Amino acid sequence: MGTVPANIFTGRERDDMHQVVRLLTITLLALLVGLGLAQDRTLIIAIPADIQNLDPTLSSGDISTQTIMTNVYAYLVDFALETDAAGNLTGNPDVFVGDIAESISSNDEGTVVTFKIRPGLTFSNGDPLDANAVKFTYDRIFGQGGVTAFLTGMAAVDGADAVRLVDDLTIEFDISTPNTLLLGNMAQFGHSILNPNVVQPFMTDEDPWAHEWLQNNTAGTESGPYMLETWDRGNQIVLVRNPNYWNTDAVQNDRIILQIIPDASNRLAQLRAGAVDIAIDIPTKDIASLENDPNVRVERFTTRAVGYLGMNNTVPPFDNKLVRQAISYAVPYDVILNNVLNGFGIQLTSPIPQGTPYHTDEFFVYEQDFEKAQALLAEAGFPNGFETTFTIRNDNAEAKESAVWVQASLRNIGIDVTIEEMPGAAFTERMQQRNHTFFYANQWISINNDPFYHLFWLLKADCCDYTRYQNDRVWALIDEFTLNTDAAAREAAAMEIQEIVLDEAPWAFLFQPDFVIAMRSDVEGFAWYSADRYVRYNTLRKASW
Amino acid sequence: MNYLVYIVRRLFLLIPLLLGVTFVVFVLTRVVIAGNPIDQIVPPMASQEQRDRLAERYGLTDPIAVQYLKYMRNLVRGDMGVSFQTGLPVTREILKFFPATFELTTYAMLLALLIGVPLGVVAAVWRDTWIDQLSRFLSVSGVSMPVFWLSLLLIYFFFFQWQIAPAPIGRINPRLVAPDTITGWYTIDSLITGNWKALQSAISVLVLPTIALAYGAMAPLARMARSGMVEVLETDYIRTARAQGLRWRTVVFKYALKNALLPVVTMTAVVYGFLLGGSVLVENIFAWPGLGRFAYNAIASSDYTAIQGFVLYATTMFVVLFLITDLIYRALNPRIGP
Repeated sequence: MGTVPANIFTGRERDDMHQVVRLLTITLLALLVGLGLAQDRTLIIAIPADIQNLDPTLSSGDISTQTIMTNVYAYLVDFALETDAAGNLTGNPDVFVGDIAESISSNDEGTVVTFKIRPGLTFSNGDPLDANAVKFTYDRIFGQGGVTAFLTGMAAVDGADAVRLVDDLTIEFDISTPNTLLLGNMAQFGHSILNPNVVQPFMTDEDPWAHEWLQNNTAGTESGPYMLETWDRGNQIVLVRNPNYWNTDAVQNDRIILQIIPDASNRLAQLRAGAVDIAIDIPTKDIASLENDPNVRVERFTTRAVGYLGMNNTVPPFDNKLVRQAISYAVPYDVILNNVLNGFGIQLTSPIPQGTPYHTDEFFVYEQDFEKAQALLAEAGFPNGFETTFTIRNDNAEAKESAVWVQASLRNIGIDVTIEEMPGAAFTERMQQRNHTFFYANQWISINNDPFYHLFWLLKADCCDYTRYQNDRVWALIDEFTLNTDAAAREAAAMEIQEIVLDEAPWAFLFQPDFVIAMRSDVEGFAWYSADRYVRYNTLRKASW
Repeated sequence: MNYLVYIVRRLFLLIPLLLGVTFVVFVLTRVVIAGNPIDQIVPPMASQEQRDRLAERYGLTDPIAVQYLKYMRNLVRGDMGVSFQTGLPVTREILKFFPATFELTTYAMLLALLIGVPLGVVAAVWRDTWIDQLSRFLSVSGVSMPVFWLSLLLIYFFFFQWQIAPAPIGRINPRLVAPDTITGWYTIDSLITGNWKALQSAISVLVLPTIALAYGAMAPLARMARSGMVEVLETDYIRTARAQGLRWRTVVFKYALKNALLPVVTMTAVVYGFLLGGSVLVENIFAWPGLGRFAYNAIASSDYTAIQGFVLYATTMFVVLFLITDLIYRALNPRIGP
């Protein structure tokens, strides 16, 4: 490298060069243009993730997708929408009303339930929405044999033949064992009423129930408040009012734009700037930053979701009840509630969450008490503790924080915990195989607000009894009272189960997290449906409309 | 004619390369990345029977060797398989997300070239002056500043504090209807269809993510341009040219630049190829519906076919870019014949 040949240019030439640079700079600045917004009766909602699969009976488990189906389809029954003393709208998880059904009645024995369909209804494309469509829908549900078929069967509707078409406006369900589960199992997206005229042409030998079409389309078969206008993958979903929806006069807006904004801090910034009207899934640690913002309102509701530390009841040393109890006495409940959930939740005190009938916190004795925990551990044969692994998803910030607190607390009683982080898909796979030993679970919510339905899935079912809990008495009670209409006997059984389960401590009971939704102050009419947490868009409006 | 033969030969070399890549990715997704894709597409309550049925439908019950052969057989016909998550052909999915990434990346690349190359050239011409220091500062910060941090800063100041940039939501103001698809580029499509509102919105939302991506991409280009220029300006033929009284523009732009830019061309291909894979961080932060997020989601949900499709796309993209680079090289420097 020699010397700089800078002196080979004259001052004039340098000016020339500067001009080139200046021109470039001006061009770039000119690109920065602002933009005004204005349009009527449209709400923009920021959601964290795209939807996946819109086939009502063979859908994925994600909330975004299920929320869309809830807003696009109608069912026979729905939760009653009530206004509480404070003027807030709530979907009552225990009271059911007809959706497309005008009336629901049952014979005295409870073996036949009759649905009368509202006369003159049509699908979004104008085709008749009547009992024939309902029959087609249930034939499809049972023919396809997915989760919806199982849930309908669970309520003692034994297959497609048990759903009988009486006339164009009447359909009957035969119930083999009278029970209280049926309506609760039916008020959800799996029971979306579909248009046979639209769906049938897509049914082929290879795909007998038109899954492939319904997975990605709803056009013409929409029976609910909205039609899916566009689904621009990874970007935006637009819903427009369905003029043929039976209750369309009650729909408070014309268009809902769901904008996919994966980054939580961006969702928050958009909300504060007014670019979106509602933001879903704001981390609780960011909520505090909204408190002094007069343009934003945060609403929170206690959910019935159960957050717990799972302990595999078949894997030593967790197969020992005393070990599970010791851990239950060592967990820092308050710290997790206050520092991880930032106060957005309540203590879970039973396998049956607060808000579900027959819940009691009478048997919850666990609070952090290291002496007691140590004594139990010694009694179990581990006076010096043991080593174990605690498994969490690596994409769950709450799980990571909780894990550190659990690790620190258990060290106090000699249990040496190694935290194992797994990618989401791998964690789910092992969870589904029920092969986690000691793990963090915070997702489950039972869509049917029935204690036995809930207990069946989490403490008995092959799929979802993630801790492999087994107790003959508890299982017998679940079997006997899941399909039973004797309220007093069910309550007694639920109490007995709670007493046994709390003593056996298959889980360390952590929390019921809050559902948190943030919106612009001028957005009104949010309705909270505790059964499923899905946002119903039809009640939302702006104060200025 | 020579060029044509050369291009065809190069493209043929793609075949063994893609064979190797598909094999490696196939094994990696199924053996190394844990997680059963079926768990991701059914609710937890789904019965084993239903899971088995789906696994069979997606061909997951066959031995891996058979799965691979079937996959290759379909691939030869241009069929990359069906995504587990969406049930749509992966080819269609990639084509859907490609324009968003292609548009953003190309503008970022142009901006990076537009700033980086002149900056490097000017820095070389006025070595060790303030402009050289500035160039050095920009390059070092461009390389070392995390792109997500820069993105958040841009959003915070330009959108949130000063409100001169539009809301960073995707490719167009969500209240507007996207222009009809012709090229897939919103700026071009709205221009062709005369949709001025869409054009304005598309340009204005492009600004911040373009700057965020360009900042990092500019750094290596500026360094390359500077070192190339410094080297060339010291050669005898430049000194001779100046001594003959040629204008500086002629010297710099006609004689020096052509030679100085050869390494920049290579670097451009590398950076461009890298960006065309989609930037997960920038796309996430700006809610940009591009391939980076597509790939990220595919990996997070063990969507085997989508992962394979993406890797094939990225490989092909690099090969094509390097081919183009070689052709440009030859055009710039006739000494390198085909």
